[in-house]
Amino acid sequence: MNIDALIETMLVLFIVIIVGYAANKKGILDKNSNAKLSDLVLKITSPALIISSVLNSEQTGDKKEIFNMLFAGVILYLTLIIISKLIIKVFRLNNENGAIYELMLVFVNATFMGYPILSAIYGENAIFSFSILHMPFNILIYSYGVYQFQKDRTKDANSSKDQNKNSIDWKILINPGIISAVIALIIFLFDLKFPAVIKDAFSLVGGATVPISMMLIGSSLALIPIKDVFSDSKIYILSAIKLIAMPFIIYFLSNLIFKDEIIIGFLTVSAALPTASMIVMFANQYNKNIKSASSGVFITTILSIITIPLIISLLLI
Amino acid sequence: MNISEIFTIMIVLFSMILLGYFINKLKILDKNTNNKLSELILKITTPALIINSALGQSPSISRKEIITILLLGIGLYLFLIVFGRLIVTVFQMKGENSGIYQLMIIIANTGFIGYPVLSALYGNSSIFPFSILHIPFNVVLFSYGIYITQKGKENIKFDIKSAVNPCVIAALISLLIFLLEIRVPEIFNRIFGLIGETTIPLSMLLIGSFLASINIKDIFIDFKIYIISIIKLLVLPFIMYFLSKLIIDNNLIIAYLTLSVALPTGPSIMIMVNQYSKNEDKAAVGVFITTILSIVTIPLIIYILLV
Repeated sequence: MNIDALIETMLVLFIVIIVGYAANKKGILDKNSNAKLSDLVLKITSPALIISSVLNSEQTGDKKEIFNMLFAGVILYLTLIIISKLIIKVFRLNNENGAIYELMLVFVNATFMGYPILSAIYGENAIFSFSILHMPFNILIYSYGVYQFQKDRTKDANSSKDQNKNSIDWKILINPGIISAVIALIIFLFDLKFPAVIKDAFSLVGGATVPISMMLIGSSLALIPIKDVFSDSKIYILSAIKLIAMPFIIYFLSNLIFKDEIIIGFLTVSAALPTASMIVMFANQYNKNIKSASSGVFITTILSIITIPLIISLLLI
Repeated sequence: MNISEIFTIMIVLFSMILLGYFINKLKILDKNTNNKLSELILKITTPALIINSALGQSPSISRKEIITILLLGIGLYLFLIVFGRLIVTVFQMKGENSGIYQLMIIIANTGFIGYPVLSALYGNSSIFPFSILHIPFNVVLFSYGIYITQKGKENIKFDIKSAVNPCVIAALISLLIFLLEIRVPEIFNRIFGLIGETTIPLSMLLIGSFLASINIKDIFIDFKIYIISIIKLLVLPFIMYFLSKLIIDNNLIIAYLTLSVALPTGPSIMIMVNQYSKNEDKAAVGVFITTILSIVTIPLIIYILLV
């Protein structure tokens, strides 16, 4: 792996983020089109990218490695949850924003930031393995994530009557992200072969994921009022933990469990990613502190442009 | 390029239009997002695609060819204006809709269909010369387009600013980059490439979504629109092909010219007609019908004339 190439990639991604930011400020994108476009990415282009990654992978890879990825993913998310709970306790962050802080540390921006960085470091083929690694994300965010937001609500007497309305909707677990990962897994396990037309169609649609994601990140950042970004000083501590401490912890833990360097690399990169923008959406839905959630996404995203190459050059090269 | 490759490309593009149609029906895209998306494509991704194409250009095309293309572009649009007038005279399409019929012939969908088809067929390097060929597009749209849709009314104004859009600016910048042989660091190429390459999938999805959202009260509103569509999509490309064969002997330039007139009517006609209170529905039907038909006629034209 070449650190110059990685820095150049981060710079390219950063500039596309700025283009998205400018597009929002110029009125080319707005709040409504952001929501629609992120729907487009999550439901159409990134599922296409995942499937195209397995359709176009040349080597009929080691099937055992994929099961290791699946296993590593479960371990990763369990570990992230436990460590996050510990950190919240140790740093006494268990205030009314506790749920947001915890979710900030657990849920990373695997699609919008993870895929571009992964494919820059490991090539397009890596997308499929990475999507397998992060299969627990979609399941957890709609179960554990929703639970975290609701748990606090039960303490809050006023809103306890809303309980039923906010019960977990299990149907939502079957979403395009999960479905495409399962389809990709089946294609991979059974070595299914497809004609060029289908490969081309998936890679053309999937190819839009990275640039649109970056522009969307920029456009979403533009919607966060600057004064909100600095409204919660605890976010700084959390961001430092998220972007620097987390990848180190995950790196050393995964070295204890796994021998495969690619898995260790994937896990470390996963932990180094900024907070998922979905947190803001959830905070919005459950009337939590949106400012803290937005600020967390903003600060970790901006800082990650520097910390990710740093982490990778320190640990993985 | 062989036939099966072209066939594959066309099926891929067509299936993306279909996908866009369903995405709209599933409410992932809607009318407002279509507008925003088309702004994104026309103001950001296509200009990036044009500049990216010019940055990687120098070996594949000569200065003389680019100057020729620039002049041919002016010739192309003058020809289209004359041809449009001729058609409405021959078919006796006079009256208030005459302007719409003429614009249907002149205004091609270079942005959403031209660039994707061209880039899929001839690679990214073809985008730059194609953008040079269509520099007169906006000038014609905002001068002659206004003139014929507004004929008979007073206060005909031509605002030069409306003719200068980001695609034209990108084409002019590209021309400078090309003529002055400006070299930029590789990273700029990557940035423009990354943003520009979304043009194809986004445009195709948008066309599908646009077809799904277009407000057509009656698709059989006017039989004459069908005549115009057939002339535009099948007759005009043949005429253009043989005319350009007489003038130049560069196969690639002949292909650019032929493809330019094989494209369906562009949605910008609706802005024109809408803004100047003509029969908007008729323009929408024209865009709808030519776009649907072009899915069959463009591969046909390529197959018969350009393979």
